[in-house]
Amino acid sequence: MLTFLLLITDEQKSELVEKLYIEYHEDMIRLAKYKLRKAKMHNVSYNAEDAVQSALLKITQYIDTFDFEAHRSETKPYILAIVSNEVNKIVSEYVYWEDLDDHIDLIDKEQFFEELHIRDRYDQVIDVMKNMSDIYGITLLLYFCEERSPKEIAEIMDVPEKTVYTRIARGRALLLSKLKEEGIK
Amino acid sequence: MTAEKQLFKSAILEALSQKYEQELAECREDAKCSKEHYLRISEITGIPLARVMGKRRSLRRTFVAVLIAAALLLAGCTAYVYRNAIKDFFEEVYDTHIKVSYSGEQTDNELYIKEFYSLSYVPEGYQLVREVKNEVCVRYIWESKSGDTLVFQQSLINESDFFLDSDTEDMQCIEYNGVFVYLRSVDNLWIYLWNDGKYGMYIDSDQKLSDDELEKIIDGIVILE
Repeated sequence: MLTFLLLITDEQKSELVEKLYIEYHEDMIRLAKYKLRKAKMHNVSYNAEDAVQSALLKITQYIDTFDFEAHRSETKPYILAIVSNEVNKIVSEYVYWEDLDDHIDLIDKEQFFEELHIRDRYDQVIDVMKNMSDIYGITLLLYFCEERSPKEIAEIMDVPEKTVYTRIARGRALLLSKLKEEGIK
Repeated sequence: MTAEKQLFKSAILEALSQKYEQELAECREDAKCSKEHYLRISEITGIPLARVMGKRRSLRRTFVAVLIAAALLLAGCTAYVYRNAIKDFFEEVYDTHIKVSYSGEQTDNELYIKEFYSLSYVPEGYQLVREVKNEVCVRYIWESKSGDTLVFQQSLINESDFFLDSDTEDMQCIEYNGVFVYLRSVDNLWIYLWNDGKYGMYIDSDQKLSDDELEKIIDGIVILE
């Protein structure tokens, strides 16, 4: 416990943590409960509290490296993504997702942006991403939006670093695959 | 960062924002938590337990005794005058508590706060330490160097129910310039309730506000740009 408290020594950081807690705690708990109940988990309240506690711990650990004030519009999805990840860990859902996308060809970063054509299909990209598994959405959020290193993402998501690389690559490939399906429809 | 990468970044944020907002909109769960959870949060974040449980403090401070009718009579206010002047208060009296609402349907069926209020005057020595502002609740917290807090909250009239103990000690009804303010103290916390016909206003303070201070606060309420 002392180790965690020592992470917050600066008064400004403490105020920021408190501000985030007051603003987002309710939504964090409600989202956690919602996802756990949807996953038909038992002990929803207890597990939701567990997920939120773990999420807040992660948020406070990385609070130095994210300018919440400058990026207010990113704060809520970031925080709820962390909570979602903690819920996923409890549900152990992620364990079963790693093998499902083996048939997808992985592509490199530059090729991804060339094929994405985001200017032409921005709204479709949003629609597809909304329906993608949380593990890819969260990984891509942390990688592209928060600009975290794979090592940091591995620590935040509590997975091996190699898994993060795989998820980034698979997330990109899956997005392109789904966009192609939507295009055909 | 290239334009494409910037657009992709925006798309990810937008996608996850929409996804979580949709889930929260579908969600029928409450945000109730155990005391053990708050204790752990306090340990993790370093926030004092009393402030972590700020919402519970909010519930506790609404368990304050005010018998509206009795208060009106004691202060010489008449229900007839009050109802005509501003939005009615409505009370439901139970054995253990009283529920006080700003009664009646709002004529324009406000679902969201459209004018955000703030205080242009607070007693000397207080500094703003926290604010929450959204479409259903506005709350400001000031703190003095000695640790006393003063909380101002604005809420929708049709969303403001207060649950009060049925103990009627220390309650008053005070009028300032046509505004009827209900005042009650409990456990060294002073609570003031009033409304302007559009929004309910609430103040709680660790120190009792003088008549002069309360009048300045009420007169000093401003609408934020």
